[in-house]
Formats: sequence, structure tokens, C-alpha cells
Amino acid sequence: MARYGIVNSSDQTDVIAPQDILINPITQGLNRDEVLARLTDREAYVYNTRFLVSNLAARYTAPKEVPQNANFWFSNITAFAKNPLTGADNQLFRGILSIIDLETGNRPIQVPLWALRTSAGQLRRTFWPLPYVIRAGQTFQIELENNINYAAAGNVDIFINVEGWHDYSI
Amino acid sequence: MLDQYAKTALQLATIAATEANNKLNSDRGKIIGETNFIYTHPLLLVPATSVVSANINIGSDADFDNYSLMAACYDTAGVNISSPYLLVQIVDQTTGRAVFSEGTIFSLMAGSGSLPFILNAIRQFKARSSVSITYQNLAATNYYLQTAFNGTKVSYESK
Repeated sequence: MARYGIVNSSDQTDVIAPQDILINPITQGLNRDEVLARLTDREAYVYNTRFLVSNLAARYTAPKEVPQNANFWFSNITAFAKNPLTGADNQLFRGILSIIDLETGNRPIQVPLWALRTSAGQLRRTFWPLPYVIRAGQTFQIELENNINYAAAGNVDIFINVEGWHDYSI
Repeated sequence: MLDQYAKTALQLATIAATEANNKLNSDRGKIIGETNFIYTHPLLLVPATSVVSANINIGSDADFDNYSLMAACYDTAGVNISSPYLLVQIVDQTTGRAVFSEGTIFSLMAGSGSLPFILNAIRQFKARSSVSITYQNLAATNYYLQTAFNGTKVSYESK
């Protein structure tokens, strides 16, 4: 068991509170080749959501249910923010994004949104050397918390993509 | 000794992968031809705050393994818009399967279009499939859109 967290060195406040790093029940104990061998009967898929963020200190959640006949593997997450009134890009939003595996309670990622924002969608952010897997029939949740250093005025239209594939070989 | 273990593990992994591939392609015969190909649709006007769909029909000569997506957006003056306020959804009308769980913002799919969105795995469209691309314009201006599927035509020996 390990723990990690991120602290703002200027004022010693938590940017990301210390938390346990948990091990995915499916990839636990498998070596890289064994995991890759499981990734053959697959089809690209993106679970995505849109949050219209309109107030401070709010939490936005979007549950995503994986189909009964496929596991969902992912390691890429991207995000983009727009001003809903003008359609202009918004680079000021500083929320915290989490992915929560509701089967296990694991939170495989918790990251500031700026770390995900792509350069016109051209950069994909891969966070792990091996992907995380949500098991067939299970639900994961995309969660956005905007109570940290919120600096943008007005509403923000946030788009979040969790990019991966369905594995139908189960 | 460790090398031997590593080799054995690799062999087992290779066998497992081959078996899984055989399962994936169980409805296919032996591959007899592969040709790189790009499917696209004509430039499409998507008026302000409206929803418009285009269709790409996969040819009858081969299945299509889609590796990446590309798209471009222009305003009515022909100027490239790298970040339009516009949602995109792609659905294989033959299988009913969508690429995104809901419409995604254009910039997260295609950006400027100069670099492709490389999918995390291939997406296979069967020969004679019809694939729809639906654009939802959230802006107050008109856009011209074009999406392309980059991939390989794969032909099989009939079983």
C-alpha cells in the first residue's frame, strides 16, 4: 500500500489530499505480456461527459455504465473548457477531476484539470504504463470538483473524455 | 534460468493472443489483401445552433479497420477554425455502436485536423456499413465540417 498527495509549496495547502494508491483487481499479479494478451478482441470507445459549471464549491458527477459483455480499458483522459456564451476557449478553469471505480471504490486518477487540457485536442495524456480496467456491467464515475483556486468569471462548459476500448473477449 | 522463464512467459502470451485473435476473426477467412485508405464525406454546412449529419458508406469490396480520426472545420470565409464550439458523434448505423458515449467537443476529437486522433484500439466497420457523423453546432456562426476515417481496407478469403 502506498499513498500520494500534492502540496502547494508556497502555502502548504493540499492541492490533492494524500490518498491511498490502490491496485486494480484485474491487473494485479499479471505481467505486462499477460495483460497485453488480454487486449486483442477490442474496439475503440470513448466515455465522455459535459459539465456546465456555474457555481463555486460544487461537485459534478456523471456515472458511466460499462456494458455487460465487455470490459472497458482506458489510460487516456482529455479535457477541454469553453465559455458557453462566446464559444471561446477557457484556459482558466482549475477544477479537480476524478475517475472513481464504483465497484471497488478505487480512484485511479485525481488530477487538476489543467493537466488534462489538450492543445487543440492534439495531445493525448496517458497516465499509466498499463491501462486501468472497469469490469463488464460495472459503473465508474467521472467527477469534477471546482472548489480549488477557481479563477474564471461566469459559467464554464467543461468536456471530459475517457479514451480507451471495450474488450469483448471476456 | 530467468531468460528461460521470460521466454516461456512470452510464448504463453503469444499463444493466448493468437487464440484471442482467432476468436476476434472467427467470422473471417484468411486475410488476402490490405490497402491503406481514407474514407471521408464532402464538406458539410452546419448552420448556427443546428444539428446536421453526414454519412460515410463503407465499400462493398472490403471491411475497414479504422485506426484514427481526422477532421477540419472552416468558417464561411474558408478560414480554418481549430476550436469550434461544436459537438461530434460517430455511430456505426449497421451495428448501432457509437464511438463516444455522448457527443464530444470537436477539439477533443480532431483539434486542427493536422494531427490525427489515434484511437486506442482499431474500430472495425464491416463492408457495406453506413457510418453517420452528427454535428451539433453550439455557436452562433455557421461552420463547414469534414471528418475522415484513416485506416486499412482488409479483404478476406471467403470461408
